Amino acid sequence: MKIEVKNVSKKFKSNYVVENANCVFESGKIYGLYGRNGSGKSVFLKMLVSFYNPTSGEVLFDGVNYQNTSKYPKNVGVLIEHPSFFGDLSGFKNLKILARIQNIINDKDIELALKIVNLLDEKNKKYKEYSLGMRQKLGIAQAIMENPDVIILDEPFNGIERVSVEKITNYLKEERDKGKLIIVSSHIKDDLKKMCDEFLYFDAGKVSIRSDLDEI
Amino acid sequence: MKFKNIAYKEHFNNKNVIIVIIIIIMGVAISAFSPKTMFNFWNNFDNVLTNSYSNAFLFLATIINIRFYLNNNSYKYNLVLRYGDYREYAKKNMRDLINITVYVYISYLIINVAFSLVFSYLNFSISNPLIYFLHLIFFLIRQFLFLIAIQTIYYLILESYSNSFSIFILLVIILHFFVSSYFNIKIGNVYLIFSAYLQTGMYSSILEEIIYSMIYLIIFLCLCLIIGKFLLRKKGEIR
Repeated sequence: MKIEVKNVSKKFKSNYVVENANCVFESGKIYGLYGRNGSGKSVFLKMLVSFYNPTSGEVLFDGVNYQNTSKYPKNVGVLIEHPSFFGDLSGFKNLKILARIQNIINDKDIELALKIVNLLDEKNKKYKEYSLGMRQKLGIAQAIMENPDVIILDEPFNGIERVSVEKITNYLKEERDKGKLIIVSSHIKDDLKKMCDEFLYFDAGKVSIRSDLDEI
Repeated sequence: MKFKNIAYKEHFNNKNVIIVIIIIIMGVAISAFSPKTMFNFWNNFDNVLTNSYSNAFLFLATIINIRFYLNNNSYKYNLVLRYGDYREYAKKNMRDLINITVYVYISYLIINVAFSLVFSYLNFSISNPLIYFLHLIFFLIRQFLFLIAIQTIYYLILESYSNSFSIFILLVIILHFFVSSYFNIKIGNVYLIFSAYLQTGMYSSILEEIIYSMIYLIIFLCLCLIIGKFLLRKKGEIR
């Protein structure tokens, strides 16, 4: 799996949110997107999975440009921005509804995903009764439950306690070692430094590739 | 890949359902509480069906239902990648919306029957039952088709240009008044056609009704297909 970003820019009205980004993401690595809030990370991630079309440039997902088509890249699990589910349903039921679309996993797989994010004990609680951290965990479980080849997580550790952060980080490293492509964004350096192999630094829409975050 | 429908009922909570029911009751009540020259169940029932304001409320209930049904963008992220194709996602939504409209329309009819019954003083007399029920059935079919068509077009526009909500509300209401008056004229015509049929024994009037309904269906289908093809050509952005 390979994602190529070629001269990609995104402009809203007259402001460039991402400007002339060039990079390549490959399987078997964890990429960390680091930058302040509003530096363009989420917009960049949305362009990767074709939720947004670049104003200029192109994103090739295994050589395919999904812009101007009705299709989306396959086998991708995402958590972008805040998670959103049906408030009156339990966490488990919410995941089950989503799992029914592709119908490739069963209840045990859903429970496994909930276990990875430390949410198995609260699986029958209604989503509207979840705390911020629990909602975030459910969002991550949703992204990983179907065992996708590419995992994209935008600020995944918001509100999550350290024990669960460690557990999820270890899971992502294991998946990386199995050959998956993982992209994680955060405005907290330490979270990224613990697991990422390469870094992209976002500063007011300008994207630069870094091998180490300490120099920033 | 085998797709299964997401249970659309999950999109609605008790509050949503109550709001829709109240709108329908208000629509029916406008006609039911209006001054009458005669108290008859069928007369009341017919008055509600053909009352422009009652119909406007029915359309409003349908439109509000779509708003309740449509997912916010963060939830949409969970869905579209799993479908892999925006058209598949849109088709699934349209199927669900048709199911929802069936429930809304049945609720509307039940509430209409209840109000008509209350103000009928148990007068159920009808002069030409065969003619009346035939025209009623065709009328209901056409009205339901119109409801589905408006809803589908509205959904497609909403998916494509989400900020056009208020403009489209106005469009629907204006359009509705035109169509509603057309329905009324048609009912009068149908009575005349069926009276002629009873006198002459010719079946052409029934065929005429069927043809009218078929034309409606074909026009609505074509309209929805054209708009669907145009709007869902590419997926656009999920903002």
